[in-house]
Amino acid sequence: MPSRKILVPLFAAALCASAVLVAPAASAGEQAFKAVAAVRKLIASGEVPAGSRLTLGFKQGNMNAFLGNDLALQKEWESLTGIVLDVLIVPQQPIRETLRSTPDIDIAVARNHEYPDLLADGLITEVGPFMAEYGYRFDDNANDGYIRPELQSRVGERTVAIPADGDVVVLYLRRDLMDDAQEQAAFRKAYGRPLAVPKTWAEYEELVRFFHRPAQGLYGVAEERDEEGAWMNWMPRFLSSAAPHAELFDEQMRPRLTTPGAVAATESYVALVKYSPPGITDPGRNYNFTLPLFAQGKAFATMNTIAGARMFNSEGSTVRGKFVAVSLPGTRVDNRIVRQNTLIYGNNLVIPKSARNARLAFLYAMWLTDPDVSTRSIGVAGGFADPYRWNHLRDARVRKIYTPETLETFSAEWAVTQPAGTGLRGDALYLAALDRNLTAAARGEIGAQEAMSRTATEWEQITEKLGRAEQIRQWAEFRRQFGKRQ
Amino acid sequence: MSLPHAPSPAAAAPVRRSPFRQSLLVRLSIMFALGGLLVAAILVIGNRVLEDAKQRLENTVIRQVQPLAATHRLQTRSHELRTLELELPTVRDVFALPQYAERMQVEIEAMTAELAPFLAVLASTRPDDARRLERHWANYRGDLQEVIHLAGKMDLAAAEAITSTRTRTAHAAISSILRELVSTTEQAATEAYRQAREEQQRQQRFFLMLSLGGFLFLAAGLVVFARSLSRRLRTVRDAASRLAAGEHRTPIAISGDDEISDLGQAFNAMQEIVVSRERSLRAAQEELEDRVAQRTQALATANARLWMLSQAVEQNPIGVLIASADRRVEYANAAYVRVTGRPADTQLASALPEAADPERSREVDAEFRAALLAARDWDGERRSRRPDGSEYWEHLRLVTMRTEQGRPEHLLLMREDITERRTQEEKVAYQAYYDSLTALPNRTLALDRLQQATGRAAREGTMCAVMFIDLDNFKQINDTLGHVAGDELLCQASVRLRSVIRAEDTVARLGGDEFLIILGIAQASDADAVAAKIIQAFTPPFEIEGREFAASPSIGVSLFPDDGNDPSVLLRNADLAMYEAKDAGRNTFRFFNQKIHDDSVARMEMERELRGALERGELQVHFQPLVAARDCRLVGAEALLRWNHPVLGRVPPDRFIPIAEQSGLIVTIGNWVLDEACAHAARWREACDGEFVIAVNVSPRQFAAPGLVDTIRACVDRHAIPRNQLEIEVTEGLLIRNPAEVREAMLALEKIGVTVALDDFGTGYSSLSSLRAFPFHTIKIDRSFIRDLSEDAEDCALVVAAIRMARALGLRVVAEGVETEVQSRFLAHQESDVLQGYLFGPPIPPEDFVADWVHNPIRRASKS
Repeated sequence: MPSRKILVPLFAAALCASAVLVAPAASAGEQAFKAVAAVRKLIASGEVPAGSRLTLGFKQGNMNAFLGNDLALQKEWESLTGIVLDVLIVPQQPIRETLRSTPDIDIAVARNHEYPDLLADGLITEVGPFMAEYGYRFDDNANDGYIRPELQSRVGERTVAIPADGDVVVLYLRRDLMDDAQEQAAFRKAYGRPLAVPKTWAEYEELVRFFHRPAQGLYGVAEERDEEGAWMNWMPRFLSSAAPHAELFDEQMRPRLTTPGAVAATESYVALVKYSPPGITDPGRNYNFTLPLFAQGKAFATMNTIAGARMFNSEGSTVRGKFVAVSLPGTRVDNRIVRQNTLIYGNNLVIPKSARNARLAFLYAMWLTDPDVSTRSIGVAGGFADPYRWNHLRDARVRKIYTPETLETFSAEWAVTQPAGTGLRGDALYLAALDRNLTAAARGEIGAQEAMSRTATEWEQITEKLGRAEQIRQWAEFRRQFGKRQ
Repeated sequence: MSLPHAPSPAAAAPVRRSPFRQSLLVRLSIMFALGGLLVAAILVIGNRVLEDAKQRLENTVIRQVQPLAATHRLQTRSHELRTLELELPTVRDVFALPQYAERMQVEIEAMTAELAPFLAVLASTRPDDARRLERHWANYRGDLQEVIHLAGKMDLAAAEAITSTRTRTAHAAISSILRELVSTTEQAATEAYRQAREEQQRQQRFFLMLSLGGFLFLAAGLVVFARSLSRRLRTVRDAASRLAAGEHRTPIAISGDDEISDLGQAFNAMQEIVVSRERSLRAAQEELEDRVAQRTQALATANARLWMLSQAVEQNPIGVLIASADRRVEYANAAYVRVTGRPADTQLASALPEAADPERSREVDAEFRAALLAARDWDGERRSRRPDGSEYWEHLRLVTMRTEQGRPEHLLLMREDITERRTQEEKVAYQAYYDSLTALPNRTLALDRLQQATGRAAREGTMCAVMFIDLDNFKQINDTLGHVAGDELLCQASVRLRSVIRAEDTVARLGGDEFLIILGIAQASDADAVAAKIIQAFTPPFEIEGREFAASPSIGVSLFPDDGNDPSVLLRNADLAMYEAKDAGRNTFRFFNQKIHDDSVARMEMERELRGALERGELQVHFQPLVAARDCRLVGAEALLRWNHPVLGRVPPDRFIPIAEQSGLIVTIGNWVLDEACAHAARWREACDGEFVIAVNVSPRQFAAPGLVDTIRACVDRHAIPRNQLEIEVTEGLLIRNPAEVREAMLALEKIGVTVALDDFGTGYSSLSSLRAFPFHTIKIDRSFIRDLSEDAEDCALVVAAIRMARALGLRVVAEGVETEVQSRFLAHQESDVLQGYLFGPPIPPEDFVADWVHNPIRRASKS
């Protein structure tokens, strides 16, 4: 009889899938209506002058998602409220740097793992009081609610962000090659098992090795190995290295990176470098390098958010109709496979502490993330933002952009998804140390064991510097919230 | 009175008018209509001419500008496309590529749509240029589509290769053609515009000439008409002038048939009426003279009435002076001289005569002067001095009598001697604000002065001190020597208090033996010095009825603004500090501080809780065994009150008993303890062979309350307590306060078989005289001496001396706080009678006492 630990994620996945397929159409728009009414009330009371400007600090790729095709959403908002949206294109850098150097921004996008540092540095404001005031809550109903909003909105007990993206990781494989009879026969001959979607990281590595044919212009894999964000591709491997999931620290904040599981995760991370295109570990070789390779049919596999499907399914893509998005592999622990996913990038909305129009910014976010409005923002070509509400997954435009199969894989992955990063104050420092050592290992400068040992040592120093007692408290709080979920 | 002369029938008869006459209105209307038509015609023609010229100019401009605008739009779109294609390969985020591709596609379609009609028009005028432009656009569009396709494949390098070579050439060719077209179109536009402007200027000149001719014609017509009107109006004007001068009143000749001829006829009629009115006026003058005679008679009657009123004023006891508006005195009655003591001056001075108190009268004098100068009504009171030196209070009232038009005509000054009324009022005021015994300000005035003092200190940024003084021995002196002596003491005390403060400070008596001093000070230490001086001033004894008495003050001091801003708060805090001084042993002073306030609040809180404690069953009586020193056999118990509060827990007796005493609750609680103790003792007595002494503490407050002896007697009877088995424990403090009454009560208790023990012996005065003067049966040596028996030779000596002294007086000795065998043996050896202490057992609830002691009265200390 299967254990409860297996049944719970399965049940969650089934629930998500049934919500996608069975739930009736959402009665969307009420949230947007309330937001617009609140803005009009502010203007009528004189609290906000008509024609006020709201400065949005968005990245280049956010434009279509947050302002709509041909600025349709921007025009709609301005027409409904009379509040002018002034868009400031912010550089591709941690939002912390942007908020420090640009105090005029009223609303910005932040990645999930950045919240604790932003809050600790006093750069963002809590949105919980606004939510209470305007009767807005992160409803997670299966009809039009948010998908696991707690992962994307909170630091401890405080609500600091409004989810506007859903960046869980999925694995993209070349379906046309997998389905090829000759390839299947060759694989069975080489590995003694059928050519199939990998269940474990080890199987994944074998698959990648099998399809690595640089002479024919096909690389085994195009996973990112850039130093910035190295943790994103390492974390799923690490999390699935122990049951129910591995943890970065013990109760006393001692790093648990030198465990056999952590080292194995790092070895798996490093092992794929030899099946990757040359220069994969060079600085700046991020998804701008890997995704085009897969889209041009030059790689057998890659890992990225669901946004990859948006690109691979576009008209110019060589792999359109030839790829498949599957769940991430896992690790065999105690004779069962443990699979874990994590949130990575994330383009969620935060309100800077220095915002001159914080209340307006909140109401704009409330409007933008309304089930109806947000579906229109997700259902446009281009852009970063991916589905984050259940009703997004049922929308015809969205299904056309991402493909129905990819959306099904995506919805199931949420059941095994963990929060992004460490969840701690000092996250940027912890992750920078991890990224640096992972990259050194990927470049062959040090071994996996050494990378983990060095990271553990640096993490200890960071913890001491930040104050162990407070870090222990935060870690305990984080674990209370998410530690027993699986 | 004659009627106005009626107009002649000829003048009044309506003029018959021709139905077709040319009135002025008709002629003017016709003239203005013709003029208007002329102007309208000129404007219509002019407008048409100008509109034609403007339309021609606009058409010329539009014909030239439209191609220019279209060319410009094409240039803009072409540049936009070029910008997009150049930016596309530099996009840093692959997710932004579709946005650029989409925008490029939209721009290509817009350019194509824009170019089609443009080429159609161009082909008719410049077919070669049209063909060239179409060919280059087709090339450029193909290249751009390829760039979009490559962007879709995310092959940015290939896209960049195209944008840097092929599209560059195509875009340059298109731009060059469009620039040529713009240049050619601009030259043609300039020539066409010049011709249109010349035509427009010709039309303008024609219009100006036409307008000038029309206006000249209109002006000539107006001049002719105006001259005709002017001549006829002058005729009427000259006739009117003659009528006004009374000359030649013949009717004027009338010509024409319009409004001016009507005016001439009306003038003739009016002239006839004027002559008639002159006759009527002469008759009216005669009638007016008759009326003057009648009024003169009425005036004589009024004069008689006026004389009567002047007599009333003359005899009025209020001084009345009447002066003209320029203050020349016209009249003063006899009372005026009587009140002021001087004859009236010829001129009413703006200043009043000499005041008895110039300082206090200054304001009143100023008001009077201002009212007099402004000629307005006023009244006020003032203390004045007559020339003979006598002073008097007078009420002054100044009234300005005015004409019907409101102009001041006379001034009326009334002066009334109100000395008697004011004397009565001052007496009443003094009684309201001063203490009749000491002549010091009373509480009301003191609070008013305090309010003033704090206000002044706040304004000047200084401080003030409030001293609450209570005489320590007043009650004793008052009760001993009577109220007369007490009053004498208060008077002497007030003199001493006054002697130590400055004239500007305040000493007040609040009531009883409580005084209040209000000082203006610069710093807190000033109050310190004054308090010390007060203590010093009370050092010499008071001599009352030939005897000397000591009376010391206890002083509480609060400071403004440190201890409060409100007078009532300052007074309360000084009062609290005074109690602190009392607690510190009297004859001293204490400054208010936060601890005093906190203690007070805590005390009040505890008192509030204590009030219902008995009803809620929170109070308990515990019993501590009393054992015989010689054999440690149980001989009785001391009843001790315990309070177990649901929130505060077990409240120590030394915290709540003083509060119970201060609040008076001790009387009720003490009676309950007495009853409880006696009830239990009655039940235990039998088990102890009929010998069981129950000791109960009684506080001074209980002694002060009436009926203590009766209460104890009732309790003894109710529980059948045998003689000498109920012992009341009192402290030495009780003896000092009301010695006579206490002694009397103790004797009464002795009579009913209740013994009295002196508790805590050794800690107070421990005077032998007290032991002798009061009928004690027992002394209880305080635990502090017993505790140090084994170490402190001095304590040993004191205990031995106490036991000896008690023995000598026939008193029983109880040693409290026995905790060790050594102490027990020592006390037994020294022939102490009874021992009490933790060596034998702590105070315990009655049920435990029954189990531990009543059922086992022979216990050794070692068993406890």
